[in-house]
Amino acid sequence: METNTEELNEEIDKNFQDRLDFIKFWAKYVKTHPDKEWSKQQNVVIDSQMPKRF
Amino acid sequence: MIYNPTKKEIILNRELSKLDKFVIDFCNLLDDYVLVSGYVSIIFGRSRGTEDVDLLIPEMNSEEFKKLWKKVYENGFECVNTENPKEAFVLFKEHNIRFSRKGVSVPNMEFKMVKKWFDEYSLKDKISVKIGNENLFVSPLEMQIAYKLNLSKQGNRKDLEDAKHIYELFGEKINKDELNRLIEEFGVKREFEIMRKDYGNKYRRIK
Repeated sequence: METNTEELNEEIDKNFQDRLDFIKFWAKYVKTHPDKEWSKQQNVVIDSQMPKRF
Repeated sequence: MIYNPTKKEIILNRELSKLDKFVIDFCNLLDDYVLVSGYVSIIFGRSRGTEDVDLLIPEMNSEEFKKLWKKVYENGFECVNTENPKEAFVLFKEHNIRFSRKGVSVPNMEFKMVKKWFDEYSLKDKISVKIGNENLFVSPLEMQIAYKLNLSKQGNRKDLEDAKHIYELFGEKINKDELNRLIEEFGVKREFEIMRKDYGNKYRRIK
């Protein structure tokens, strides 16, 4: 199978733009919800990456 | 979250993550410092983890470093680079060194001595973040955005995302004149435009 670099780059750019769009959404969520509420959700992501014995 | 730019203070009522507790435990051992880079976005809600937390401290001599080393070791941390404080100090003068909880190399605190103008700026104008009874110092938001945009020039999109999180979150409270000045200074106008562009609002609207 041949790799189409242009297509691949387009896909990468699209993915990046989607991520930036999500960041805007999430920042608004953080701004408009109590700290306890968003941080509980965020901690699932952060704590899952911490060593078990930490 | 309440940001008072005049008082240089942010009141944060967040649940602490394990990473926050690690950072607080370590920073409580320091007299003067400022947290910079990725963790500043994370503490304010950016949904990503990290293996290192960047921290700046004022220049210090070998005696001051020795005292700090002792305190750090007495409180359950260790240097990831070396167990020899003299060797660590030599390293520290030229490079960043890392401290972690004993026996656990990640996450770690990446320890940097203030060297450049933007380091001095961050330390001098740091913001106090109050979380319950705890207090952390972070770099000014305008500097955080410009600095992250500058890092993103090296091709790491995560840095631009970190900048966007802060920009969107604190929006109207950010000092636009100062931000523009720093954007000029770092030469990151292009990155700034990419960051603030609207990419379609494809996610559900929040009331």
